[in-house]
Amino acid sequence: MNPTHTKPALPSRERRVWKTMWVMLAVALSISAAVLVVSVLRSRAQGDTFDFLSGMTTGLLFGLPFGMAFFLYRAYRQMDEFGQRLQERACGFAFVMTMLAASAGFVIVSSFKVALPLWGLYLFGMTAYTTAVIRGSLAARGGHE
Amino acid sequence: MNEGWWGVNNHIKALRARHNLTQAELAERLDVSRQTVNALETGKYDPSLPLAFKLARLFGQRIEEIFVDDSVLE
Repeated sequence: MNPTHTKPALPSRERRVWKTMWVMLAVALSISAAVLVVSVLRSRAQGDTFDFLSGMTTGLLFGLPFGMAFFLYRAYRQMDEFGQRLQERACGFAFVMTMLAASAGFVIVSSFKVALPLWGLYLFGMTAYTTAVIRGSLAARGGHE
Repeated sequence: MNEGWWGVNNHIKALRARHNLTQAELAERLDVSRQTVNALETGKYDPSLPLAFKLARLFGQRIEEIFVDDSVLE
């Protein structure tokens, strides 16, 4: 009888990091869902209820980046030294690229009197970060087991 | 010997094979990710001193026997 080939379990460190990332994603999605529900309720509310729900929406949205920052920090602390260095380099690269983009944005806004969306800067920064992480991960490859 | 173009050379892959360990098993014993072990073996990453000492203890070798300083040969 041939033994059933089973995929080996992930090492404990990688399991911890993945678990933290999944928890972070679940929390972010939960908060986003809560914001959506509150927004729908707010659209149908009036008076004091409307003000309450408006405040609740603002509070939830305000807490979202802090919550994500907390879980990102936890995930970073659970990474090994190579993973931490990869993240540090990616964040440094993304920071520089985002600052350059913001500088260009200032020039464009002041010169052409146009309004640039803030989400564009966020998207640019996240793209730079993601690119740096992928580039760093691929550059570290090359060997075979 | 693994020759990396931005890390020091080392004998980690050969030592791992001598001890019949996979990259995942070595990573588990060193408490690092498999990606780290791969980067070490290909010379793409130089370990910290604590990790280098862990490697030395695990393989029963001195750090100088695992990692090769090419500048000494010049």
